[in-house]
Amino acid sequence: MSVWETELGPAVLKAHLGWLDRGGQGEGRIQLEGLDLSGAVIGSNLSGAQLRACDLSRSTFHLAMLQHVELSECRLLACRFAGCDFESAVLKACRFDGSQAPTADFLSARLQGCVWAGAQLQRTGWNEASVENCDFQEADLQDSTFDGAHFRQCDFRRAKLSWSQGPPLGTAQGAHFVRCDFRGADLTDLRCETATFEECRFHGAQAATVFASGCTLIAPDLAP
Amino acid sequence: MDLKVQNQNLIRPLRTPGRTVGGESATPSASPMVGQDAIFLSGGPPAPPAAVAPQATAPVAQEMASAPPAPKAPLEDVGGWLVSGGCADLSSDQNRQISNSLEVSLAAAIAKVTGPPQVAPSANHPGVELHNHLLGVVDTEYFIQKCAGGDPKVLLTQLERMFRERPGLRQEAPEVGKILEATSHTPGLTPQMARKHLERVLTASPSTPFDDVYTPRDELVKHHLELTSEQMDEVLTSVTHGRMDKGAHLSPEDCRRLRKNLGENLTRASAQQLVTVGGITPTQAVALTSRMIDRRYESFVEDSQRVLLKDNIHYSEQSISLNKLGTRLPESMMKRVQQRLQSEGLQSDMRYLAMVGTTYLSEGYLDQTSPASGMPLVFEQEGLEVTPQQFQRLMKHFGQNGATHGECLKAIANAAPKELRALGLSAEQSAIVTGGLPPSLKSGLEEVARRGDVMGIDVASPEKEPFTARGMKNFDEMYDILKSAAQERGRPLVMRPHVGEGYPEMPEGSHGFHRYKVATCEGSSEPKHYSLASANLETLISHLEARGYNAAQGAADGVIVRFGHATHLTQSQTERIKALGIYAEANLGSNVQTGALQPVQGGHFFENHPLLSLLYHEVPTVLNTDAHGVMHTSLKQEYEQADRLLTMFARNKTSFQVGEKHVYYRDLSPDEKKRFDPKLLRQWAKDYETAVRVADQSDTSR
Repeated sequence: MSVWETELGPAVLKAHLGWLDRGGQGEGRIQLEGLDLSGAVIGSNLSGAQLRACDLSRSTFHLAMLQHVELSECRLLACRFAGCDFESAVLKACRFDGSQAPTADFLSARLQGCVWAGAQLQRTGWNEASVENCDFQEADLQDSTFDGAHFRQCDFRRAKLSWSQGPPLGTAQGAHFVRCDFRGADLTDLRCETATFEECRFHGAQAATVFASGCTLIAPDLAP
Repeated sequence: MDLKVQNQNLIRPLRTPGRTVGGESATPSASPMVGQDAIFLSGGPPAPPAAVAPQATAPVAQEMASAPPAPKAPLEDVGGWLVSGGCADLSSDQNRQISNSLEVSLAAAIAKVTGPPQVAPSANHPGVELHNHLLGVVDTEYFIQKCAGGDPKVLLTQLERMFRERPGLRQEAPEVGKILEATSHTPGLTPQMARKHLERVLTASPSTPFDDVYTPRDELVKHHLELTSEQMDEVLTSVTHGRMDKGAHLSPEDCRRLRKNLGENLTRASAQQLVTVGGITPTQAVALTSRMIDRRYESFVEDSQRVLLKDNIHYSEQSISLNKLGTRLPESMMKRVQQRLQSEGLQSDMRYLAMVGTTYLSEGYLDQTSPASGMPLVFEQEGLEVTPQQFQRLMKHFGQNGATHGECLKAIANAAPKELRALGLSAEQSAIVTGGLPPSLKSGLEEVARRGDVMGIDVASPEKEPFTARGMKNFDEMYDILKSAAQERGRPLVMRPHVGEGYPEMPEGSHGFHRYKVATCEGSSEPKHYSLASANLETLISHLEARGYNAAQGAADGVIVRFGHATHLTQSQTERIKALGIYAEANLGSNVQTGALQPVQGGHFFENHPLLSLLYHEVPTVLNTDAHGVMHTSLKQEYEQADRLLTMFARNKTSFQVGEKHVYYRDLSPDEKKRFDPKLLRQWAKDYETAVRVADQSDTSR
């Protein structure tokens, strides 16, 4: 049973805001473990909160501040994160399958072992983020920015990383993709002249514009 | 204590993606968040921690501690203060008097040295809020503490009983009534579950329409808010020595008997208990109960201001019903509250907007009928008094073509006065039925508009009906009331209709309220209430244009028009309200909590909000919470969210439309980009407050 509104209700959020107001000192920081908090609706500032093994599936975070948040082993299936700010967040082994996070920012965030399969991540910002062993299969990352980000051993199979030529986004300048799997992915018009792709797999990817951009390709694997 | 809570054992194995991990993890271990890194206020650099004002008592206490002890007399504790034990050559009564006077002078000294208002270090806004509803400021926890001694189960039981015993409440707040009906049959209710139900009863929730929650809140304030023994003393003093109706005064003997017979229950006693157990007359009991209710509202107003101060709000305009403003919240009470806060060094300037229903801009008020006669209450009012015979004749006449009851009423209200006179109504009755505010409402507004703490009129309630020509006549009457009062007072006043917010309509056949499962327009996915909200904006804007309103005219009349919410403004309407000189009040969090804004593809709530368009067209826009507690927000959060919207726009993630074109930040000229500076939102609020302070100088009512 979800304990949202009893454990992560207004009183707890208020205490956390008090902790933030004190510059992250003293009592009140949200530190939750092993709770069913599914169905939460949060527009509040959760920056710096620590949640481990919590279930926040089907929750709505409307424009929530989630900077420096630390989530590990949490389930966040089918959540709404539109416009949320995850700057410098630390996300470990969390499941975001089917979540919607368009326009969210993950600037300088650290992600490890997270699943974003099938997620809606259009116009998201990943600049300077460090992302390792994450699953973005079939995720929609159109018009996102990856400038200066490091992606290592991430699965982008059949994901969409293209630029629609609408908003001035869709860039991956200075980004490093190491041993990532782009098989069947759409990278059309992604602007990445100064990006490096090292030991990445590209079979079936729409990546002609990427290859022609002058980016650095180290030992690309085009095998099925 | 940090907020570590119990484990529900939800740790589950997780599928790891891709190929096997090789080498060291690129992810650093989670680092504890400390110091300034912990705070990030978007839209600007982190605010430096301001020096917290020292506790006012500290210097005095230190001074006292370091002062040399009195040479002879030992120290004794008097009212919490250590004072000398008195002189041996004076009587004990004389010594006590001296001690008491010393205590008073110490308290006075402390009041004098109390510093400036204590401001938390994280204000990200100028402390000005123009759109808030007084009864919605405090949160659920407040009621748990103040009405039920901290026990959520007790509070829930109180509410269940209240709704069970008074069917009228269930009519006023049907969804809350249903929730309470269901909870009353819940076996083994834990405090946590009770708290969760209370959130649904007292705040906007996925299953609670926001307007329902004001009914239980008001009832709790009126009848259950705890009175301290000091406050009860004040009440008894006022009914013993104050001005009272004949037969309502209490004698000192009555007071002693009440205390003796009711003991601690006196503060919670009903009028009936005051008579049967307390031994006073029904007249006295009614008067005493009324004073107790007044005192509860006074406490509530004070506590609400403390909540606002914690959110760094020092100037606010609170909407409260005209009736409550006139009967329970007199200006003298506001002054007392302000003095008490000032004595603690807290500067809070709370003012009111007198609220009347949005139904007066449509014809929804016709639905408010007398249970006895079935006649709209508006027809029964003093000065109009349509008789049942007259009403029957009207209904018969206008119901000839198979019209429904509601259609008949609207036909009556929109009939030509001549036609009504032919059906037997007097000339005055005809004039009132077909247009114009009820006389009692009008005189009430005229009266409060002359109060120094009232800043204008708020037209507010669920926007369920289309605004009509008749409604615009009512708007004009309210405008004229304000114009007259403004000229008398020598200051501009505010006309603030709630418009363009809309009210989520449930799909046909659905049971209960579902915030994000609303009825949509036929053949489209657009929520029905969006189009009604835009249509109402259109009606009001067109009306203001037709009557020649603009900033200059408003200044000449002394009437500032502000649109409450304006959530579903279209592009062209935004341009037109700029030309009219109208202020917009944006309530972002509230629009999410009430369902006024529905999530669109991708989970966005604010794609349809006009904030960017308002800024582009330089419409003065002020951010607000609408109701802190009811809407689960704070002014700080509202500014954070607006800042985030502006950041996303500045990063070209979002756009707004001008004509057919989607405009991105990169498309703007340098001058146009300046319009999206988050400081501008703050500046408008500051400028508004400055204008208020200037106008205060010439206000004859202050």
